[in-house]
Amino acid sequence: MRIYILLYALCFFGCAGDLPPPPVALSKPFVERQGTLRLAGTGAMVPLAKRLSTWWGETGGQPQIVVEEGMGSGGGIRAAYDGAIDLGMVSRAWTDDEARLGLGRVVVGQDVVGFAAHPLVPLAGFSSRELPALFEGERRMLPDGNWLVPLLRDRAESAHAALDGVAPGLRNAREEAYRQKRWRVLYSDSAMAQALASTPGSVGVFSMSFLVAEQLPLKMMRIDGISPTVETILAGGVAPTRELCFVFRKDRRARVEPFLRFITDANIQKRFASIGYVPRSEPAP
Amino acid sequence: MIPFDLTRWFRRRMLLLTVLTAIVIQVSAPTAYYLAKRHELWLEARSFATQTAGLLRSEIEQQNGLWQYNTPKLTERLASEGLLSGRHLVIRTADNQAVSVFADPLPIRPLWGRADTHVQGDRVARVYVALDMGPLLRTTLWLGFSFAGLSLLVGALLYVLPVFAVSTAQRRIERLLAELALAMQEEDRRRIARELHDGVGQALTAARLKIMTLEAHPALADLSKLLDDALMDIRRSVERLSPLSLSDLGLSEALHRHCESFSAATGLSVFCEVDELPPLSAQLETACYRIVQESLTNTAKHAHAKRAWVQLRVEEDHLLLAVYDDGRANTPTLVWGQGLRGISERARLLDGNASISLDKNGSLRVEVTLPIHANTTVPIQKR
Repeated sequence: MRIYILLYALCFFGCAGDLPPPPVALSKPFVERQGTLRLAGTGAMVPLAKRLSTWWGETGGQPQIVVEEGMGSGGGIRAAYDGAIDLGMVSRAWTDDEARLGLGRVVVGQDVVGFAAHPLVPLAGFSSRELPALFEGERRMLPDGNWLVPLLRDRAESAHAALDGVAPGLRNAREEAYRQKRWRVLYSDSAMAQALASTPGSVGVFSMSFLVAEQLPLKMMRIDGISPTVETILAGGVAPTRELCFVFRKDRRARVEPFLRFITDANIQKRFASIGYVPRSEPAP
Repeated sequence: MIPFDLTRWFRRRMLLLTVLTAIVIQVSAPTAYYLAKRHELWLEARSFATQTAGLLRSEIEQQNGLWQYNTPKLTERLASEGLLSGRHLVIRTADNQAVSVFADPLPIRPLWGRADTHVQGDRVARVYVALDMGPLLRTTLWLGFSFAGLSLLVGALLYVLPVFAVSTAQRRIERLLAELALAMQEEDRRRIARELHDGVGQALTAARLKIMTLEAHPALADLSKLLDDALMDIRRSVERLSPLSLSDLGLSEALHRHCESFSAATGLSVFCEVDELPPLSAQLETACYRIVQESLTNTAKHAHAKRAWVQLRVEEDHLLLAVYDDGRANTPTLVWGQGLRGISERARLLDGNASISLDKNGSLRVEVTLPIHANTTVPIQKR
């Protein structure tokens, strides 16, 4: 019996396998980088941030603005909290955990979301009742002979929340599509833009502001006959939108304050529409 | 009986060998299974870590130092492809800072695999993947239990079969030796009887005849009487040592003769009943004769009997031999002396059995059952 236990103990402890991860090292203290203001977060705000950076530069604003590639709202919040960036770009509401981080938040505008399609899709739009069926696996042939190909964004995409209000049942249909792995899933706006442009008959959730700002060769689809554009919103119409904001550590407020004041300035806000974004509705802080 | 107990000696050695073999059988297969499967599991963990490290590399190249904040999307992507199911994923930066990832909880018995992500020759991140060894351990344990049963079975066969063979061989050797001893004893008795008959008996007879030719003398009559007594004693001894009548007259007549002579010699009334007998082997005839001889001697010595009965019956393929008396022997007097043991031993060697008992009145009863066609190895030569 002892030999038996000994042999099994030898086998258990003496076999191949990598070592587990060591204990996490202590966090390095944040070193504030002078000379640049680093922005990162949701991909929906990247074109806006780049344009704001250009306008900031044109007015001789300092420090210089550096806009990183999109890494999602959650990534922007976490990076801002860690001090890895100065301003996090966020296009959704806080989660409970994120709200507890105690970050500062400034709304800068809205972007319009909807469904974009391959430029040759021979449809003008969908009714809100048709939308869930799109993701439920219903095969639909287009008049040009191509099949309609729905493309999915990842679950964390903030545009989903805005669209779910427009089309009841869309959320359940989308979740089912994730579970069934029914359609291809894209994990960034740029990946979605590339997929839509290269796949005949494709249609997917997209930021119309991103589309306009980047001048992408994609087709905006109407929903219930309404074009999801800035013009629609500005004319008093209703289209799915999401709020765009910057978040920052409160101990860095002084550092980011000039830039925030710049982007909430009425003159700059007026220029938002020209790049496809809806200006903020609330007065400047 | 062999003084050296071969079976016991063999059993002791086989027990050790059997236990060792059973342990080897029980341990070897589950251990081999465990090692092979654990290695396979480790390769799977390492393969998944390498795959994740490759995906991470493209993220890192795009994110310019902020890649660790985009890993939730990476893990969601892995999860949506079913790659995170049952796997615990840990990503660390080059300076061992934790990177937030969403994955299954760490299993109780993890097996880790890891891979590095290099960008431009520098290690930027390290990916750890833990797989659950619980199912493997459970399967190995079940396999261990199954092989425990198998090892017990094999061990039992490995132990029982050779021990049974050796035990059988020992019994056969013992029987052979006993038969040989009996045959040699009979042979010795015959030789001594022959020497007495042909040597001393002939000499005494010659002397008796010589005396008869001499002139009458009172001393010669006494001498002649002494010689007659001596000759009679020698004849009795010869008859006891080697019953000449058995080979000459057959078992039935020999038994009648012996009963008569025994009756004459001891004063005990002996009644002999013998069925018509089929042809019997010399061993069987000798055994029957010796058993009757020994039983009557025993009765005469211990039973205080006036009458004795000898019955030999044939029943199917068995001989039923019974010797009993009307004696009043006390139970304690029925001691297993050499004679009674000899009766049992003779019966056993011929695949028969013997029952020796005293009834409530003290009558000694010897009952022996002998198969007519017994297997014997050592033949007893007829005279």
